[in-house]
Amino acid sequence: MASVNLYKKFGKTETSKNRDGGYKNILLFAPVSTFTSIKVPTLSAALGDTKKIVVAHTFPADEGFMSLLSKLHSVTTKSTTVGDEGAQRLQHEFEGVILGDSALHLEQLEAQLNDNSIWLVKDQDCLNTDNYVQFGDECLTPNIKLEFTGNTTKEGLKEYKITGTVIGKKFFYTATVTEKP
Amino acid sequence: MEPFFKNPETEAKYESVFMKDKDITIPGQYSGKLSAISPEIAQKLIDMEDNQVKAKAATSGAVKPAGKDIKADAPPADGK
Repeated sequence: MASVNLYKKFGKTETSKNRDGGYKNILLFAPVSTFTSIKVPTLSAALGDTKKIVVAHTFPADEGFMSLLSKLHSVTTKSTTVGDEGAQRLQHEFEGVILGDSALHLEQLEAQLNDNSIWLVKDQDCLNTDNYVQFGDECLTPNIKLEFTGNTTKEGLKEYKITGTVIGKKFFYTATVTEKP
Repeated sequence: MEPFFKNPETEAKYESVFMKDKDITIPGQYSGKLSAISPEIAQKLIDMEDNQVKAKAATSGAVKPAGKDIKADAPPADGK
C-alpha cells in the first residue's frame, strides 16, 4: 500500500539545498493594490508544493517590485514557533537596514507601517533557482516595524531597521521578479 | 518604429505587451532589462504566465502557442 503521509527521509541531497547563510543586500516590496495578479502555490501532492510559487506575479505597465538597498549583511530572516501547544504555527520574520535619513526616507518608510505589501528577499546564491523568499500573500501581508537610530559622531551611520513579521505566509518564489520602471 | 527587443531573433518572434522596459529577474536564469532578453527567456516568461511578452501572431506558417488570448477589443455590435 502506498504511504499515507508526505514526510520523507532527509539525506545529503535535501540538507545541502540553500545552505549558505544570508541574502542579497536588498529588500523588495510591492503594495498588494499595485499587482495585476498575485499568484499562489499550485495544489499538489508532492512535498514542498504548497510552499512554492512557480508562476509570475504580474503588474500593469508602470508598476513592479521596488527594491530598497540595504546595508551589507543586514538582510536576514528567521522563523519562530508561536501559539499554544497543539495549536502552534510558524511566525516568519525578515529584516534589513536602510542607511541614511531624509524626508523621503521618513515618508516612504513610515507609510510602510500600515500598508499591505508583499515582500521578497533574494538568496545570496544567484545561481539558485529558488532564490527569492516571499513573505505575505494577497490575503495576509507582513506587519512592518521600523526603528531609527541616529547614532553618534563616533559610532556608525544613521539607519532605519525594517522588520516584517507574518504567520504562515512564507513561500519560495521561482518566477519572474519585475521591478518598477 | 524602433524595435523593442535588442535581440533580432526575439524581436522576430515576440512582442512587448506594454512597450515599457523594466528590470526583470528569473531566479538562476536571467537578470537584466526586459528589452535585452533572448528568445528562450521570452518563452520562459510566457510559460510562467508573465504578462509582459507575447508571441507574435503566426505569419509564415509558424504555430501560435495554445492558450488564452481573448481581448475585448472587438468593435461594438452596433458599429459605433
